[in-house]
Amino acid sequence: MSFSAIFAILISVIFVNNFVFARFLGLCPYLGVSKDTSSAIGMGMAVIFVMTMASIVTWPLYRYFLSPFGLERVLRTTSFILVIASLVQFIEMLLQKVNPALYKALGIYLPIITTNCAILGVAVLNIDTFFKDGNPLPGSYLGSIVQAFGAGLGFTLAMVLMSSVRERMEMANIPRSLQGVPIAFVTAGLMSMGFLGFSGLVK
Amino acid sequence: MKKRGDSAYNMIVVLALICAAAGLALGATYRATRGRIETQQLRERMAALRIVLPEAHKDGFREMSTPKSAFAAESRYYEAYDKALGDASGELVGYALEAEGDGYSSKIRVTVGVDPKGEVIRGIKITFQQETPGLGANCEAIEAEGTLWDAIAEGTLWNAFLRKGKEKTSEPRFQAQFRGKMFDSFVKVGNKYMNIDGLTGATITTNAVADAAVGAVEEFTKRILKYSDGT
Amino acid sequence: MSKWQIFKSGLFKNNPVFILYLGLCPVLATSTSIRDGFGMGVAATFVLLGSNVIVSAMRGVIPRKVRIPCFIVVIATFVTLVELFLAAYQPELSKSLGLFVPLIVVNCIILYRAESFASKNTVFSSFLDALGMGCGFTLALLLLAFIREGLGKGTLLGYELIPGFEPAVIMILPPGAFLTIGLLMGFFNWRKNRGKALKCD
Repeated sequence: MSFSAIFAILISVIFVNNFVFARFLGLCPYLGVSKDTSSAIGMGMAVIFVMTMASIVTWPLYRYFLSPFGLERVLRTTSFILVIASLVQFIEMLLQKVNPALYKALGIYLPIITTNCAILGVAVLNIDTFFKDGNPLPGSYLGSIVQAFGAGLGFTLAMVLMSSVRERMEMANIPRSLQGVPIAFVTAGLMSMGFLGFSGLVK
Repeated sequence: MKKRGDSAYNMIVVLALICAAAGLALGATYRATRGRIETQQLRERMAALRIVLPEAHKDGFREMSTPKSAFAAESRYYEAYDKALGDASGELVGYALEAEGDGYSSKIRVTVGVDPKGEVIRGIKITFQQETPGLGANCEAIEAEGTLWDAIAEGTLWNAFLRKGKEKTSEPRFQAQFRGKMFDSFVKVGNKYMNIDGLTGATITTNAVADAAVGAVEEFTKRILKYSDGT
Repeated sequence: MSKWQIFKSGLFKNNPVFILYLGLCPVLATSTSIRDGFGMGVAATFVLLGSNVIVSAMRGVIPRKVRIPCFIVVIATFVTLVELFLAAYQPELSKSLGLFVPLIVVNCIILYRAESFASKNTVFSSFLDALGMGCGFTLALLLLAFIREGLGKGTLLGYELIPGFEPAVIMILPPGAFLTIGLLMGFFNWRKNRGKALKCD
C-alpha cells in the first residue's frame, strides 16, 4: 500500500467522512465528555488507542476465524463486541499496572468506551471496505489499521473543536430550554456544515 | 441478586450457559434463514440482469468467469440469450458484467449490459451503494409519482410504504440515461463525462458509477471479446 | 406504578431520545426517510423486547459481577437475529440501514434498560417497559424522519408533499439532522419546563 493511498484514507476519514459529523458515530460520548477541553482530549486519546487496538484484533479474527468457517453472518456482531469489551477491560488492567500516569489520564474514559458505537462502527466498517466476498483486498490489514487510527483522530478533532466552543458557551446567554445538549447539537450542525466543505477533497 | 450468585464457579457456569443458549438460537435461526437469504441474493442478481438486458430471455443467462491473470482477479460475467439456455436456437443478445467502484462514502456495485460486440451500453443497474442521502444516493432516486394527497385518496400509500410495485414501473433517471449510449461516446473531458447528466452535488458518485461501467466494458472487450471470434 | 404507566413513561415523559438523550447515533443516521426510520425503530424495539424479557427472566440467576457481559451476549444475539431476518425478508432495508443494524448492539437504550429496569422487575413489567421505550424511540425517529424527508426531499414515502416545493437538501445532509434534533430537544425541554413553572404557581 503506497504512501499516497494511506494519506488518502487518513484525509478521507478525518475530514471528508468524519465519524461524528458525517457518519453520526459516537455521539453519546461526543456530547457527554465535550464540556471541557482537557477531558475532550483525554477521551479522544482513549478512543484513538482503543480503535486502533480493536481493528488490529478484529481484522485477523474475521480473516482467519469467521470468514473461512462461513460464520461471518452469524457471529460477526457478537464476536466483535465481545472482543472489544474484553480488550477494553484488558487495556484498563494493563495500563493500571504498567503506566499508572497514563491510566490516570485515560482510565476514567475506558469503561464507557465499550458502548461507544464508533469503536464497533470502525471494526465493521473496516470489514465492509477492505473485504470483498470474504476475501481481503490488497493492503487491507494496514489499510484497516490506518482507517481506525484516522477515525480516532477525526473523532478527537471533533471533540476538541466542540469542547472549546462549549467552554465559551458556558458564559453565553442561551434560552433555558436550549441549554446543554440541544444547543450542543445545533452547534454540531453548524460545524458539520463547515465539514461539508471538505467534500470532494479526496476521491 | 442472590448472594450465592457471586462465586467464581457460578459466574463461569452462568456465562457459559448463556453463551451456549445464544449459540443454539443463532445456529437454528441461521439454518432457517440461510436458504431464504441466498434466494433473495439470487433474485436480486437476476432482477439486475433483466433490467440491464431486457431483451434477453429470463432463463437465458449463463454465468461465466474471466480467466485469472497476473493483472486481474477472476471476475464474473453473463452471456445472455433471447431463448432459454436449453434452447439451441437462442441467439446471443449481449453480455452482462458486474463492476465495482469507489464512491464518495461507500463501494458502489454496478451491473452493466452491453451488446454482443461491446459497442452499445444496453443498461446499467446499481446493485449496491451507501452514498450520502440527498446527494450521491440520488443515483437510485425515482421521480415522485404524484402527490401524497393523491396517494391517500387512491389508497396506495401502504403499498408505497412496503415499496411494492414501484421499482418495477420506473427506473431511476440517473441510471436510465445510460441506456443505448454508444460506448465510444463515453469521453471524459477534464473530470466530466460529456454525455451524462451528473447528479447535483455528487460528482464523485456520478464518476464512480460511469467509471465502473465504462471500465468494466473496456476490460471485458480487451480480455474476452478480442479473443472470441464473433459468436 | 401501574402497568399502563410503565408503558406510557417511555413514550413521552421519559422518551429515550428527546428526554434521556440515549441512542442518538441511529436516530440521526437513519432518519433520512420515513421508511428507514421506521425500519430502524422496529428493529431496535425487537431487540429491546427480547433483551428486556430474557434479562428479567434471568434476574435471579445472573451473578452481579458478570452481568454486563451476560447482557451484551443476550443483546448481541438478538441483534444478529435481526440482521438475519432483515437480510432474508427485507433485503432493501437491510442494505439501506447498513452499518447501523449491527450497531444496535451498542445502542445505549438497550443496555440502560436491561441494567436499570429489567434486572429489577418482573418479566411482564419489563416487556411493557421495552415496548414503551421502543415505541418512544420509533416515534422520535418518525418525527425526525418526517421533518427531514419532508423538507429535504419534499416527499413522504416517495410521494410529493406539496407540488412545486423546492426541497432544502441541507435537511437530508448531516447538518440538517443535527439542527433538527437540537431544536426538537429544545422544544421538548420547553414543554417540560413550562409544565413545571405552572405547577409552582
